Amino acid sequence: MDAENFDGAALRRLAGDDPADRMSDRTAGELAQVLAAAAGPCGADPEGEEQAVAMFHAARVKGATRRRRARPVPPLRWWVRRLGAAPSTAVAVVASVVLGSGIALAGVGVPLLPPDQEHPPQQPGSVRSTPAPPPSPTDPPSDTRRSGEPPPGSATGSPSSSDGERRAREEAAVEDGGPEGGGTGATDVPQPPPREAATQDPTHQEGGSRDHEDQDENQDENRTGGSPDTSELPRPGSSTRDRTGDRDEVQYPERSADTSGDDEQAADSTAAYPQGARTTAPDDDGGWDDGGWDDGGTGRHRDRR
Amino acid sequence: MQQEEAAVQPGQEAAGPRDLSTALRDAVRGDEESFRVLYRALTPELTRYARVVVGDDAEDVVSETWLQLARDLPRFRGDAGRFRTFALVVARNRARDLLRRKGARVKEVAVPAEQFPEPRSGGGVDAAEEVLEALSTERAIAFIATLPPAQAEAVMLRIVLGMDTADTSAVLGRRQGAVRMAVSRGLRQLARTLEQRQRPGGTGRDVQE
Repeated sequence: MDAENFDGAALRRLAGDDPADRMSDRTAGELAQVLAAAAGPCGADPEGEEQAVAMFHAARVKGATRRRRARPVPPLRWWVRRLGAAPSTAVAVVASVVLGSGIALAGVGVPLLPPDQEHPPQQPGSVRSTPAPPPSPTDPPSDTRRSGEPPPGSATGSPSSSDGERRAREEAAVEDGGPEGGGTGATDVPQPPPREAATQDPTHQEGGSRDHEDQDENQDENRTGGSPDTSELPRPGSSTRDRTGDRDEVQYPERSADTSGDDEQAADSTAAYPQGARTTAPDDDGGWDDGGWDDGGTGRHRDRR
Repeated sequence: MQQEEAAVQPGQEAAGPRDLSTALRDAVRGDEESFRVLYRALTPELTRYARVVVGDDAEDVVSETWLQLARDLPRFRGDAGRFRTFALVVARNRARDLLRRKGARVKEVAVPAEQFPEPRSGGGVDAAEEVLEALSTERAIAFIATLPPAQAEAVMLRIVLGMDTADTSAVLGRRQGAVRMAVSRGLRQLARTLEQRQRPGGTGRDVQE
C-alpha cells in the first residue's frame, strides 16, 4: 500500500477534482485519517492460525498420500512411444484392444494376436464396420435378394453363406500353396483393366463408384468390391499396396501406381488376401477403412447378379 | 498510538515483501512455518476486506478462505503479489457464498456514527486529530462499509489495502474504469459523510439513512 493514499491531496485526486464537488482540505484530511485507521492492525486470531496450519498440514499429507497411491493410466504418449506410431494409430490400436475388435489392428499393422490367430478365415468384407450409405431408389429390396443375411453395407458386409464358404475354401487353398506375403495372392487374381487403373482418381474412394455406376454399369460391376467371385477381383496384392503404401516389405507384382479407389474397392476383400498381408502398415491417408469401399454398391451389384 | 497503526503497511504486519516471497516459496514446498508467515501477513487484509463485505461474519469468511488457501497452496504458482490477489479473490468468493446463503448482503453495518467525535468549532487539524483518536480500525472499516457494496470494496482494496487499479479490477472482476469510478464515488460519499458530521447537529447516520 502506498502511504500517499492516506494523504488528503491524493485522496482528492483520486476522488476527482470536480470543482462542483470538491472536498475541502479539512474533509480530505479527515478522510485520510479515517482510511488510515481502517488500515490499522486487525484480524489477529491465534486460534484461526492454528486451524489454518492444521488444515495446511492435512492437505499436504493428503496430497502426498494421493500421489503415492495414484497409479495413472498410461497416457497416449506412452502408447505412441510403445507402438512407434502416430497418435491416430495409437488411438486406433487402443480402441481396438478395448473394444476387442480387429479392425484397427489390421489397419495399423500391429499384430497383437499370434500370427495364426490374427487372420482367421473371414468372409469378404467382414473387417469393415463403416455403415453404408442408404440404398438408392433403384435398388431392389434386400429381402428379395437374400434372406437371413445382413443388408448391403452392413457392419459385416458378408455375402451369402455359400459365397463365404467358397471364399474361405479358396483362401485356404491360397494359403496352403502360396508363400507368405501379400503379393503372393496377387498372381492368382486377374488384372483389372488397365484403362480403369490409369484413369480413375486414386483419392476418389468414397462415393466414386456410384458416380461411375450411373455411367457404366458393367464397368462398375467389375470394379465393385466384395464380388463373390474371386476370379473377378483385381489383384489383391496391388490393392494391398495401395493401402499400405511403399513401406510394405512384401513384394507386389508390378502395376500402375495410379490405382483408383474403385479399384481398391474391388480388391477390398479380406478373405482374398493370403495370410500375412494384413501385417503391413496402412497408408497415411487411412484409405483402408475410411468407409469408402463397403458402400451399398458392393452388395447391390453382387446381389443383382 | 493510532499514528503508529496508520503507519503500518498492510501486508507487512508480519513480513516484508521479500520475506513474503520467500515464505510463499517455502510454503508451497510444504513448510508450515512459512505458511504461518503468510497467514500473519495476509489475514489482516483479508479481515478488513471481508468486514466491508459481510460485516460481522468476516472472521468466518477469513477462516474459510484460509482453509481453501491451505488446500490450494501446494499447487499455486506465482509471486507474493499474485498470491495476495489470489487470496483476496478467494475471500471475495467465500464472502459471496456466505451472502448467498444468507439470502442477501448485510443490510446494515453498525455504523458507529454516534461514536464519531462531535466536531468542534475550530481548525481542521484539531478535528482530524479528534477523528483519529476516536476511530479505531473497526470503526473506520465499518464507516467504509456504509458505502454501496461496489464502492466499499473498491475503496477498501484500492485505498486501504493499497492495491493498484489492475489488481483491484482483477479481484473485483470489473474493468479498471469501473474500479476508478467506484473509488471516486466512494471517496466523495465518505467525504460528504464527514462534512455532514462537521455541521452542527449533523450525524453520519443521516447519510446512510
